[in-house]
Amino acid sequence: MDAKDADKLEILDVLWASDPDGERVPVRRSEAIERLRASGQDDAAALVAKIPARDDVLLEEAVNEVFLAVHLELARLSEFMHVPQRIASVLKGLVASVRERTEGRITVVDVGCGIGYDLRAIADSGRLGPDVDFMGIDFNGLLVEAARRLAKAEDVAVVFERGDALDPDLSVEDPERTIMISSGVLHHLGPREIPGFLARHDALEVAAFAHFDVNPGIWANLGAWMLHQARMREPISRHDGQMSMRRSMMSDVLLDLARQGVGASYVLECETVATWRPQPDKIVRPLQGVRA
Amino acid sequence: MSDWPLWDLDWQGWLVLALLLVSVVQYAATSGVLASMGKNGRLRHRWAELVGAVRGVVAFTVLMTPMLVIWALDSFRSAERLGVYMDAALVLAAVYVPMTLASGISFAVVHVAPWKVRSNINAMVFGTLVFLRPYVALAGMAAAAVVSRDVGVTVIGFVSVTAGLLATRLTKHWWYSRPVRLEDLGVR
Repeated sequence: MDAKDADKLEILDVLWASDPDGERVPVRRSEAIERLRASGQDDAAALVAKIPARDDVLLEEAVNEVFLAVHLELARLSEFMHVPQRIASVLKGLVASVRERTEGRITVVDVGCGIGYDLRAIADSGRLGPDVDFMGIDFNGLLVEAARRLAKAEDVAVVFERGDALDPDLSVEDPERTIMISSGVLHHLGPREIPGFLARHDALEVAAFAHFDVNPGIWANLGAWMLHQARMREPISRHDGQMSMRRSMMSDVLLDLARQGVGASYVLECETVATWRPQPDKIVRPLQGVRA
Repeated sequence: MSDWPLWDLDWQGWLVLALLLVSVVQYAATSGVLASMGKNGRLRHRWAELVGAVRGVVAFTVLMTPMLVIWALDSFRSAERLGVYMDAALVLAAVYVPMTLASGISFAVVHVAPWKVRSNINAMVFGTLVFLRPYVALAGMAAAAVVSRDVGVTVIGFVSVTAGLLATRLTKHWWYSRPVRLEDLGVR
């Protein structure tokens, strides 16, 4: 991540607001536009200006349509790049290590799950074994409801709940047998919030975590640009996709932030994926931690 | 119709036309799939893709039929006129068919390959092909125009290619322009 990109925003970041209780609140279009302009993102501000509003308040239905459109396209991109398979291949090892330590069912919790495509795909594949349960949480109630409907439609055993990964009151039932994961969340949290986010894992004493995010590099950036141009139809999808690439962080930076959050409580690992050649199957790589 | 010089084509001529037909149908179907992408969020969406492919072919046919008629009216005037078009068609086939072949072979491979191979093929082959397609389409037509050195071929060709490239947009406009709402998800 370039230092000047640390404060850049994705459009979806400014379209959703919640009160301290996590309940959705209206968003003023002028304020969303001003936030984007303040960070030098006039193109993004122009896209927000096109979203219908009444008395300067963005219409809830219009914002819902944007969120669903972007996340549905993201799901297809995730499928195209085989991100669920990538996640599952890493989780197999973590699940095996948890099985060695304790007995009982294991829970994989996807924080910031969106419409839950990755989690649903992993659960549906059965690759992690019959003793693994799946839960997705997201602070966005619209996306959680979308995830529930899709899981139900295809009879996929995943529980989706509304929740905030940064909420200090967040709890897990059986932390010794819980693995926290995420995909594409770390760059949203940014350097300021990642230590606190992982410190919550430490406080909860979860068995392990694996947070996947884009491994930046010239081939990843080029490939992402081409794929977004060719396959993403929504302008906001394209914008936010490119911004995700710009906000993603190198492995050594993530490891340093993780150490700030969990200290020696976890054995940390974050693969440095070679960037001199294209490796689409490693477009996302995990920041992993196994409880020491 | 029985006097059309088309019926006097040798088997190589028919092969060129057949290969071009396969290329454009493949493109049209892919356009429809792309237009339908991201509309249902499901894990299993082959039926939705198939419907999208059919709609893409329909949209492409609507776009190209007027140009096909104009082409027929011009090219069937004489064997010599058809010959000029067939020279251009050969150049188009030389440019388009390799892309279609690459796409077809890759499509077959991803159905049997491990996920890492599928991921790489998707990104590096399919992703690149879709991205380059409009440029290759226009470049192919430019090459055909240079070889034929014919105003009719050039004009009809470029208008046809441009019209064809609108297939995704037309498919999306006709069938996929309504935004997805929460109540649409999970419903057949």
